[in-house]
Amino acid sequence: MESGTTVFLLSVTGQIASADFPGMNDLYCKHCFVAGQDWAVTGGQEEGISQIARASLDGQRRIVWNFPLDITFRSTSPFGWPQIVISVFEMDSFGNEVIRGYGAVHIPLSPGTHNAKIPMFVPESSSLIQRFTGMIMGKRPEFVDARVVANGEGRDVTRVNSQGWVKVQFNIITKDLKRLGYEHSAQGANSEVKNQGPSEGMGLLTKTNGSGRSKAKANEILAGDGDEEGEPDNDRRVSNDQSSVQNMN
Amino acid sequence: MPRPVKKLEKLEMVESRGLPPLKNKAKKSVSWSPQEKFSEQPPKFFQRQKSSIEEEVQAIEVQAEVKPPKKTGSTQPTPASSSSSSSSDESLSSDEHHSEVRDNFVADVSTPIPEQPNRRTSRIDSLKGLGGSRSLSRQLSSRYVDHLRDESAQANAAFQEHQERKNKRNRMADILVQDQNHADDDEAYDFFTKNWDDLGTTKHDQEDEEDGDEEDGGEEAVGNDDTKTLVKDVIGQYGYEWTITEKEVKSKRSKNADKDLCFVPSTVQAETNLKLNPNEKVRFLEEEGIYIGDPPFVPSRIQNKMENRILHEYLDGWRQGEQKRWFGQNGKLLALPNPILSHSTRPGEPEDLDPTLETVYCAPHKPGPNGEPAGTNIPGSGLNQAMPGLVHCFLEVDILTIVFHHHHLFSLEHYLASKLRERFADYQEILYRKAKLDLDRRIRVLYDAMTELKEKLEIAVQQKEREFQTRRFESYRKEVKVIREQRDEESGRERATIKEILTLWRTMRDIRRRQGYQSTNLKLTIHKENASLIDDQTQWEQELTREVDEARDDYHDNLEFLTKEYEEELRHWKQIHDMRKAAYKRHKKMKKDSEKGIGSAEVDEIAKDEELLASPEPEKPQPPGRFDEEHVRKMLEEKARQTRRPPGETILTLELSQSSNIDKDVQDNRETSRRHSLSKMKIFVKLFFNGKEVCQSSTKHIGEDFTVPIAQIFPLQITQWPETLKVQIFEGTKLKTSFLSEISLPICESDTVLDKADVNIIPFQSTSRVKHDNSGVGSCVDFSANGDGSSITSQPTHGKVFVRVGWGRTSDGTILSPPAEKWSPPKSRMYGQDPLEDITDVNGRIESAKLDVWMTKNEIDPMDPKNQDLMDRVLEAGKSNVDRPDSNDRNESSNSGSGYAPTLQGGGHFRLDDYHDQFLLGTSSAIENNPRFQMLKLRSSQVAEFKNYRMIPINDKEIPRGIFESLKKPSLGSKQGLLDTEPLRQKFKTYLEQLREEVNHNFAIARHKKRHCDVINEVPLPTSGTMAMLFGEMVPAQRPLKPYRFPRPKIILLDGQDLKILISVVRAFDVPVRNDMDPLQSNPSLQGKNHREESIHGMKENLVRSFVEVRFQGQCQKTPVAPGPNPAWNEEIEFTFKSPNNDFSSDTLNRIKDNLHLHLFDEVAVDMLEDEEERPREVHQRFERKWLGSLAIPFVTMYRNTRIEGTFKLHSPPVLLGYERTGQTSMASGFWRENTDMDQPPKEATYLSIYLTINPPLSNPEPIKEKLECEEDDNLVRHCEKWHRDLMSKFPNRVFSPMVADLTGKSVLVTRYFRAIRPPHDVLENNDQNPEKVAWFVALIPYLPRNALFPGIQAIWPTCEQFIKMMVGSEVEHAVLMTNYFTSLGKKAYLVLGQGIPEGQTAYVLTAEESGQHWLWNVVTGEHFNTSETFCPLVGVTAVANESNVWGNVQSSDAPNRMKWDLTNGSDWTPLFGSHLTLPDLSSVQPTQLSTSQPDQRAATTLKDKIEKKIKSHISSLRKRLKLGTPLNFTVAASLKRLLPALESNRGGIAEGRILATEHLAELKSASAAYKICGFPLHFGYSHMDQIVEALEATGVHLNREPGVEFAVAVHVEPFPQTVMSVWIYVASLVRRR
Repeated sequence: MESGTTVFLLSVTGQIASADFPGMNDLYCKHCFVAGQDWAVTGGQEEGISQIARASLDGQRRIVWNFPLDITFRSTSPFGWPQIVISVFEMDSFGNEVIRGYGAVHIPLSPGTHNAKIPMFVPESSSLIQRFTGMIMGKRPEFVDARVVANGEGRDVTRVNSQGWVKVQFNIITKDLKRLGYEHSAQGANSEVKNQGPSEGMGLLTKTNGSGRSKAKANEILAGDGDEEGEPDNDRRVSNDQSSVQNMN
Repeated sequence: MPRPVKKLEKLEMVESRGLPPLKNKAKKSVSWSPQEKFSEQPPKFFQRQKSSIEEEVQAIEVQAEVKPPKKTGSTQPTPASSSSSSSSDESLSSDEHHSEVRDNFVADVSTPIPEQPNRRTSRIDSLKGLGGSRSLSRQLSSRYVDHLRDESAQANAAFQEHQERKNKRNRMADILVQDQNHADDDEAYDFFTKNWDDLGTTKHDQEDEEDGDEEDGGEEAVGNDDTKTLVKDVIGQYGYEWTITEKEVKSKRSKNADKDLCFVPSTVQAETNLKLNPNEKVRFLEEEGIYIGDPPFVPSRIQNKMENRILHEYLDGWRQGEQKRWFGQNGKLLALPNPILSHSTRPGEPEDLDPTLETVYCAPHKPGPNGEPAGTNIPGSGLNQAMPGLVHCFLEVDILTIVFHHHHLFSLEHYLASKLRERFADYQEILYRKAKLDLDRRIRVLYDAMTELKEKLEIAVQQKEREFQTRRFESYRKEVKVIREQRDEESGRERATIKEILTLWRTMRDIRRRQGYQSTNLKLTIHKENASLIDDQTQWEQELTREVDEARDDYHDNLEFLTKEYEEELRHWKQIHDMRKAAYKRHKKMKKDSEKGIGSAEVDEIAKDEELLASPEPEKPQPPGRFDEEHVRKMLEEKARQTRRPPGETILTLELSQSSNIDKDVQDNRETSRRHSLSKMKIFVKLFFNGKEVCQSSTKHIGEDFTVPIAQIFPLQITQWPETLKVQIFEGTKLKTSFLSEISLPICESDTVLDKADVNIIPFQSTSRVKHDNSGVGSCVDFSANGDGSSITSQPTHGKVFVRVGWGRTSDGTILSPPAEKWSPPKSRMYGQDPLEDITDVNGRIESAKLDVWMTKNEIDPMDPKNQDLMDRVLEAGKSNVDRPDSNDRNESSNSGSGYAPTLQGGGHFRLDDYHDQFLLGTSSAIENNPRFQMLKLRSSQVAEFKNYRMIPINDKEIPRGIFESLKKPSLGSKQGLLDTEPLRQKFKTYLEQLREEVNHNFAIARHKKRHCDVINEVPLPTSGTMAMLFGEMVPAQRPLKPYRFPRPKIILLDGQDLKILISVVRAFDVPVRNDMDPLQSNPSLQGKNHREESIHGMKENLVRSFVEVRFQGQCQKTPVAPGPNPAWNEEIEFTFKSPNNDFSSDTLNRIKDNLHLHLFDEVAVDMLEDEEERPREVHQRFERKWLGSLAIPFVTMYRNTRIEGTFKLHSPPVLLGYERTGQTSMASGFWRENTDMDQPPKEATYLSIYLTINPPLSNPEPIKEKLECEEDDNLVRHCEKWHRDLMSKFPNRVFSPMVADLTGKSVLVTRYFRAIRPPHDVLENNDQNPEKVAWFVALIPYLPRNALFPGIQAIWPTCEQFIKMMVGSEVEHAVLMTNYFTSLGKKAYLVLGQGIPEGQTAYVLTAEESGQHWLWNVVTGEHFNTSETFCPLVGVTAVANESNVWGNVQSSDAPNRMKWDLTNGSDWTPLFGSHLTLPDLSSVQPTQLSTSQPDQRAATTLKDKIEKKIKSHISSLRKRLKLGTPLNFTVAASLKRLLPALESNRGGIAEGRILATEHLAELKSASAAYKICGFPLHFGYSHMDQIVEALEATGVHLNREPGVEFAVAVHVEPFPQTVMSVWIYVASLVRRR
């Protein structure tokens, strides 16, 4: 509509790589982007739904989607920076789709590759009996609109339960952001956000530089190849930096 | 990790050769028994093919499905080549190898290929280090044969032992043990911290070491490197695929290995002796008196587990002193004391904060001198900085005395004395100045000089000298003038002061005499000095003569100038005079002309002349008069008499002394009581430094002379920059003290010491009002100044403080002041006063006069840019003071925020926010003027136009122009409206706006408060029904053929989607047919075709060919034409909805005011064939459309209902000229149901069947379900909820809650809305009690759909009063008002809530008629329907309510014509109040009476004119676009006009039906003889001009293309109370018959 408007562009590619939901199987995820009023999508899919994935049979029980993200936003104001909202569903044995987790994280601000580990949560039933019937009928409480998790309104009435993690990788390119006077200092490799432990409700963002990625890949192969005994130990022993990298992938 | 394992197990390995492989195998297949392994394995170790072992291990590790060739080798024992010792060594090494190789593998994969040479060297290194173990193995090997047999037994035992241990251990334990045993600290540290990337290389080292070992054990194999290939290499060689299978291992592991690998520590408390060193005893340090803090609380279960785990892990590697790492001497786990304190160290925040402690915003502090922030510490000083040699700053304040110039305990005498003292001080000052200036002498000298100069001037010959002397003389003269003036002033003042003093003294003396005692010690001595009269006289004369001379000289000098000025003025006057004369003449002539009615004149000229004549004639200037010496002399003498001592007057010298005595014993009671209270009165001062109280003086008595010697020095050691130093003066008795005044002390320079400091005399004043019973005059109390009741005055307590301020000094003389270079006292406090006090009046406002004084005193340079701000403020202040002369009002006005003048109250200091600007994003004006910021601001404040604006441009220039205009429009519009267009409703409009704002505010919070169900979708709490459903779901419905309608899911529209509106126009009933009462019908040229048609068919109804035109948002589509009075089109029409800003949010959609218009037209073919001859061969026609009726459906209605379906009554005029209805036809055609009661005349209306929907269906915002604040009784509320729930569970689509929200956001029981309200008097003129008239009045009140009234908020019920004030409302408001009116008329009226078409949720009024019928009243049109009627627009009834009860409809059908209306029948209607709960006595929210304004006939007339003008201009402008003229026919218009009042009195034919049409025809008979008339009256309840214009345009009257068409427009406006206007418009197009 406002074709003549000066905008900056934010291109997001990447993937919803995998998830970690202990004890759950046959999961799929939906995602959508939530952005403020000054944002519009120029290209790409704003919403998506992934395939149903089974947990891997190794000790990690990883659920891998590798669901690609590709979207470009244009905007005039950083207010309402886009967020990705991910909701994970499980196909239970009766064929019901049961919500298993909601989570959201802001799209990284700085260009480069970022990994996000998004903690997931689900709303709790408001009473025991509802919980019971919900379990029977396969209708667990859900958010009316998944976008609730991207903003703060109305959350005070909910009670949630933490679930697993979803790992998302973002590749960010921005255009004209600086030209319009918006600067973000997190440009260099030093900007790497270290794993600061699971902070509730917020996705973890780490930025990896090139070498880190290759190492991580190596580790991933290793992890996938065997050493089933070593895995839990490894996780603990490997220095913080690397464990986060490994977990991310 | 492998290395420690090696060393640990070495001991065992020496004895048991078979063990290591077992360990390997155990991992892979647990099914192997030890025996098997033993029998199988040993041979493997004899073989020297080390590489194969490696390979095996590696292969096992990767779990590749590779069967390496070594398998064959391993089964065949090769005994001879190696000794047993070597084999044991071998076994050892191979065990190590296992792990080593694995690591190697890990390393190899994770890092690129390790370098071979390095490996070798490191291997050699390790070789050297392992000499000891080598010799041991040599020994063993020599005895191989002997021991061969024992080996099996040994190995067996060893295996079992090993197995045991293994069970006990898990991996972690191993690691810990290893760490404990071998890894030195660095390594351990490395282990956790080192980058794991280095893992590979460290592994190599280890591997190399092992290599060394094994080489040592067997042979120094040279080809070792060749054989030691990596698995990858091997696999690569064989070309196998990397297939990874883990399954097998995993399953094995999960079955059995878990037991081995998992260790579950027991929760039983571990034995204490295990935890201690064997030789140690338990010690309890606490008992020994050593402090040990409380350990953090850990449940004993957990603690035991931990202890057991530690013990378990350390079991093997238990060393001396090792337990110290974990256990204390008391046998408990070492733990630090609990870091969490049991009590809070911070005081908790009190629940409700003391209001005085509330946090308030303070602007940033003004910086101290030299840029130091105020209140900051002086560097290098301060008690908190315990630095040696720090600078102490001692500020010493010496308060000497306080002298009261007035005190409330002053007696009158005191007051006078103080006055006298004051005056006397003035007098003394004058004397001093007089002496100093000595003006008399100076003037004398000047005179002498002048006389001298005059003489010189006379004798001067040279021109040059003359000039020079003249100039000198002039300057002298000027000086003399100045000095004389000065002298006169001074002496005048002196005389006045003397006079005053004498008066005062006299009064005082009188008072003293009168009261008989003396309470002051003042005494005035007057010295007289007689002057010689003659001397004085001569001097006086001389002086006067001089002055007169001077005056004369002045006059002569000025004469020339004055004459010139006079001439100029005279000329000017003459000019004006002439002009006036001419204008007068013209004016007179014009008057004559206009009387005669001839001639013309320019309007401007007339106006100019008139203006000229109106202005008063300027006075004729006077020529300068001659110099009148007498007069001048008199004047000068007069002046001199006032200022100078007249000749012969005695010279007075005054002297004031305190020599007289105060009388001690006084008889007067009042005086004694005054003295008594004075003796009790005490004074003390408090000293404030930087706003904080620091000291307080001791209390002192006020002496008889009202001086208080405080005489106290307060030394202050200061650490902060001194900013303010204040003294507060208190007075009072022992019990009660009161604050008198506060003064600021000047802070001295850094080199001022107290001894040398000047005494500052600082005035103070107290405004407190005190009154005494005794002879004290009080403060701020009126009293008579001279004791006899005259000259009333009042005095505030005031006085002076004598004070010194200086820095302290040490004994050695150093001044304890802040360093001079960093400190200078604040400049602005030069006078020790708060400058603000100098310039403000009592109200805290700046007084411009005081400000001027202050500015001159402080010599503020107005040109200094630093003072720019101040000067601006001063200007403003001056202006505003002028603007608002009423100083009492000022305070209020400034408090209300409208005042712009700076106020100094409440911290609004205008200069103290120095740093405030730095914290702003920009200047406020910059933000205000920035369109982008403005837009963002508006959007965030949820202004309707911007609320959902997307992508506000980043650059200002990209912001669409004029976007703010819509915002400014309301104010502009209101102005305009007041001026011309909408004077009628402005009041109501503003009221509505206010209400809207208020409602929005009231509901904003409620809307943002979300409930659980708004956020979370959850199965509802199961009831018996849902449980049944739950199980019922398992059995599918047994009627597969029964159609089931799935509701379309409603969605929230996203960007880029189109919203379509689908309309299916099905059919119409009872379309009027043409009925041209043309007396010359036989004229074939015009009516030929139709005539023929008629003659052919013989039926009138075919004389209409109608079509429907649908308009929406400027789009227009139409159906094809269908003939007959009951046409069927079945046409589908589609529109695309356009939303402003592409915004599809529900809020915006609810605001859309667009209507969908359906217009029914008759298509008339007009024959244009000129030549009759051509008729058989040619057709030449023109189609014309004649409007028959229309229907408007607001978009919001569609939006809310998604689907609108039904048969609608068209809004058609009561009379359609040229058309008539054939009601009976439709009756006969069977579309109408048999009407049961035939006494009801059939409806005169056209009906249209349509189906309308929007696609995709949009979800509507849910109404606020939030439980609103409620003032009803809890019991009642519960009952209502229950009733509501019960009803809803049975009929989910009949939703009505008896609790409704009022405008304040509270829920109110609906019955409170009913109360009999008398309709306005004027509606019931003749007391005819006609309900139809009342309904007509109510219907005329403008209507607005519900969601448009209060966008986003539904189900708000304004009261009738609010409604009548808003003058606009939805159905509910109309219905409530109508019900209340009807009730007052004695009818049984109810409010009916239900579904109507087209509006959806609606409200009707139900009345029980006397005939037993029930009537439903449409409140928006004023029509009423019998409940048994078919085409009632009310299609569903939910509930009925009146003031006594609410009834819910529980009948199976909710269509009014299929329902029973007996409300008492419990099976049909369920009452809210009945058996369970009787209606409590509730007050109504409605007033007993509505105040309505009188019908305004004048407003009606103006409105009529306006509408008429507008219609005419609109038609002509529309026709202009078609390039057609618009001639108006006044004759027909007049006759049309005559018809309109009848229409109004018939209420548009609702009352009388079709008789009207014939009436109209009769009236227009003469006209219709000459013209073919096509016209109709339109009716509106006036709300807006646009509505009328729009409706008119839609009829298409203007589209008549007949040549020579004329138009007739007539308007009638009937006024009703409260500016309700019934507007009738008669429009007709006239075509002259030929």
